[in-house]
Amino acid sequence: MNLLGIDVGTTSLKAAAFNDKGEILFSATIDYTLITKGDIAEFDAKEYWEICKKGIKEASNNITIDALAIDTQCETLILTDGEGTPVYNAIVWLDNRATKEAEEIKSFFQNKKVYEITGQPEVTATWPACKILWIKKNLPEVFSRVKKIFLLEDWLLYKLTGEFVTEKTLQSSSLYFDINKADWWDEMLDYIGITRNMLPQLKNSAEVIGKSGGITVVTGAIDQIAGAIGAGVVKKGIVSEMTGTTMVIFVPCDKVPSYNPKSIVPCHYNYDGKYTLLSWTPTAGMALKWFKNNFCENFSFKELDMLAKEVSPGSCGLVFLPYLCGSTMPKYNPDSRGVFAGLTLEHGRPHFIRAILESVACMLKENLDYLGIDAKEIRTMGGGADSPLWCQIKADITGKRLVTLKNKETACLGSAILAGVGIKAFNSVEEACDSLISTDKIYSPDGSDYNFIYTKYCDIDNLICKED
Amino acid sequence: MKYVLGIDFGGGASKATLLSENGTIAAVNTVEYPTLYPKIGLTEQDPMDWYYATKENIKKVLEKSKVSSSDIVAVSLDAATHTAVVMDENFNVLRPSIYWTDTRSTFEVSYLKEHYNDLILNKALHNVDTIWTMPQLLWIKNNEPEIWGKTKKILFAKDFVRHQLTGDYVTDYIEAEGSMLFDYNKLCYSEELCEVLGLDTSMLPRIVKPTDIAGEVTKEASEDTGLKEGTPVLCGTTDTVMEVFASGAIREGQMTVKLATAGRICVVTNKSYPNKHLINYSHVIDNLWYPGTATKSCAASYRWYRDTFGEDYKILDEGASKIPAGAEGLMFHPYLNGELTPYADPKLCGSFIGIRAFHNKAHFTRAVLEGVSMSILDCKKALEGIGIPHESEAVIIGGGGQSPLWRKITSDMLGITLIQKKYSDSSFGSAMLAGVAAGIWDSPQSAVSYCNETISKTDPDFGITDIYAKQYTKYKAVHDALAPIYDGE
Repeated sequence: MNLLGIDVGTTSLKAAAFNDKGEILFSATIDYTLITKGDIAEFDAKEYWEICKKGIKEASNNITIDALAIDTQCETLILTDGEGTPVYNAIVWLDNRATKEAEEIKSFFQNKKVYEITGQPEVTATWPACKILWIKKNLPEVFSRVKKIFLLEDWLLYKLTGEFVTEKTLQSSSLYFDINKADWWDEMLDYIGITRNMLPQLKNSAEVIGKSGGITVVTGAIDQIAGAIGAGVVKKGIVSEMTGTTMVIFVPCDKVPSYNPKSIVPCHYNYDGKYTLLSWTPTAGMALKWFKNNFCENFSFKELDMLAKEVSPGSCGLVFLPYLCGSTMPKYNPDSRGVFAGLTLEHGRPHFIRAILESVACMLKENLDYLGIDAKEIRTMGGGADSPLWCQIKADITGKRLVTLKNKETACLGSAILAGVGIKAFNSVEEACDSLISTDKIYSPDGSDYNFIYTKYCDIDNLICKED
Repeated sequence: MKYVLGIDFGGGASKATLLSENGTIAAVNTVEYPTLYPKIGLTEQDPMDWYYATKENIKKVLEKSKVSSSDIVAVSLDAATHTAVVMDENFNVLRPSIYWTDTRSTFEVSYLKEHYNDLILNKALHNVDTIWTMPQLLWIKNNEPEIWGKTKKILFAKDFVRHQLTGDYVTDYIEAEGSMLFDYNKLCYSEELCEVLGLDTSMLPRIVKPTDIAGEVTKEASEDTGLKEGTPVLCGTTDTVMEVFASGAIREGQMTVKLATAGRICVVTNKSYPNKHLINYSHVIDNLWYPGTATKSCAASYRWYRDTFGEDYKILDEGASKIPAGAEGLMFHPYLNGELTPYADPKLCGSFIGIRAFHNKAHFTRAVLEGVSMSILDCKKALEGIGIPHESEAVIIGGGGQSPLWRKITSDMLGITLIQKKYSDSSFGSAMLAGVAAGIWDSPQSAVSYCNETISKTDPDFGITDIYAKQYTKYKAVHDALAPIYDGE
């Protein structure tokens, strides 16, 4: 049995096929370029389908595929007529034209109500509801022809099977989906001027919806959730973090946390009918890369690790705050800036590097503490997972076990898992994860004392956010 | 042609300058000697090393200049202040000298502050600290009673070297002021302060004027050094006053800005200003003083930055010169080893604040230079806060003053014109002082105007001064916010 997972990102599509042991049999990446101009970010909807077809074909040429599922970026909107012909280019999630409409929706509903119903703490031009309202106001002729409203995953499922369906994780950031009732939010539909019959039928993740060629097509999830499934974040006590340019922390939860006007952590509908929090910070791996480019350009990341390893935990009192692009969570302040504090004559380049590694771990702990989740294990992904020192520091500072994964394409694997569950090759997502996911290294807290440095980090963080 | 010789003893080297009566330098030479760090916090020098360096230096300047030793009409020495040499009655050195950066006497400092703070401030005008001789001697008394018991003679660094040359036993009043045993009002050693140590004032050298001839080169020293037997050696004085003098700050209101390992601003005044934030010393010119304030890691910050992140100063300066004033929001606090003026807080640490992803290495370099200059601004404001009047221009001295960019930043920061002199080192000052004592020039003032000249002037751009003034408010606020965090450590 072979399963195909397709991950459609902002500028590339990845397809990967796995056997029933989770071994990767095939993978391909197809890049594409968005149409961008000022606030506008669009793509030809038919082109999305062509690229998707190409990915499936390449995989099928190599091996027999039993089932597939797709995960996509959220919030990319495709509007068609009754025949399923697009009436406008796909409006990509990045598109920022609908800021006025976002303001209008915000002032009508207020953030609190929007959050309590949809889980989204802020109303911005990203959300499909705002984009639809923009079309209605600015292109009434186009709007009058709209009969079907797709998000990207729905569109590809429709082209594959002819079924007009969607799944709930994808809709949970449309801003017209009620995550408590798992149903459309009628009040919002009314406000933006659309009706239920323009929207696809709501399905759960991992439901079979039809066939394409010989392949069974199954509903997937949004890319972040597929990625978390592919990392095995499906059991109590396990969360994940991805340290790439940014840091994304994925924390499943049973209930929607109550509204906090200071929080910008969105709450999504999860694959299992529960919820998940997505906390993120704009500068993580990027801080290390920035430092390398400016102060250690002749060093490799591996060499930076070796230098930092010579320094004892706490970087001899040197503390870094990694707010090179402002801070988001848990202290939202786009104006806050980076800091090196506690400098003395004894500090050298290795201390700076270690302070950067420690700061990202402190930021991770700060976020986990803020979210109040009692996790025992963190599945770690992204470029940061390649540094054993960084993983150990994260384990020591958070006091939790850090686990890396053998398969780096976790989103494709997550979709493949949903496909396998859909065709009943597995009884549950959890069971599929046990069969298909191989963990790599385990980093347990080694008892190094970072309390002092974490306290100092938080103290300076509190001051600096106030200072600016 | 007549010549005069000045020799300076600094942190790790001695420098000799041979000056001719027509005001030109015939030769200079530098000899290094070790500074010993036996344990963290301890800094010592071996007094005999100073004399070995002296022998070497004199031979080398004679060799380089081809001047006959019989044409050298006077010699003067200067050294870092309050470095005591403890000796028995036969002038045998009993232990290495404790250097001013040595911090072993913290316990003695606390004790003296608790019991004698007002007495010391009133008599000696200094705030008790580990840098002064008095707590250092008390440390020896408390910790090395055997050595203390044998101690019968005490000399200061340059006086010890001069003793080797001439056999005399004197010191100058400026040096004595740095001992913390001197009574500024009575202009002699204070019986009361000496009593705190149980010290008989007869163990201390007689006090004379820096320009007084202390003795003549002995036969033995003549053989050691190549100087002619009988060459007059004047008492000499401290390195800082020689530097102030060398750079031409000889008139009331004149100011010196020093960008060296530590940074310092001094103003020439007609009286002393007893204040715990100031170091007060007499000028070599009668009835003048040069109270000063200091920042601890000035060029030391820039050297640390260079040693940490590489490249030489010239390349670093070039990068930083392309970055606008204010480093686009990036700010550095140079408290890498605590700070003196205005906080006197050894626990403070340095920081880079306001970092954004677009900041590159050149921004950081500029921030370091601006941050240090901002602490110099703190020093200037402290002097002004005490009400010390000064002119709107200053002489810039120290290694940092060689950098056109740093001069410009400091000029803009302080809002004053900075004047760079051809010579500003202490050994040059000592050589001129020797010339005054030998009658080549009739006064210190005429020596300076004859031998030294201005080589550059840097005027402030007041638009940038305004930018820095706004940043200064934030600079203070950041200190205030972070100080309690460092204090808790």
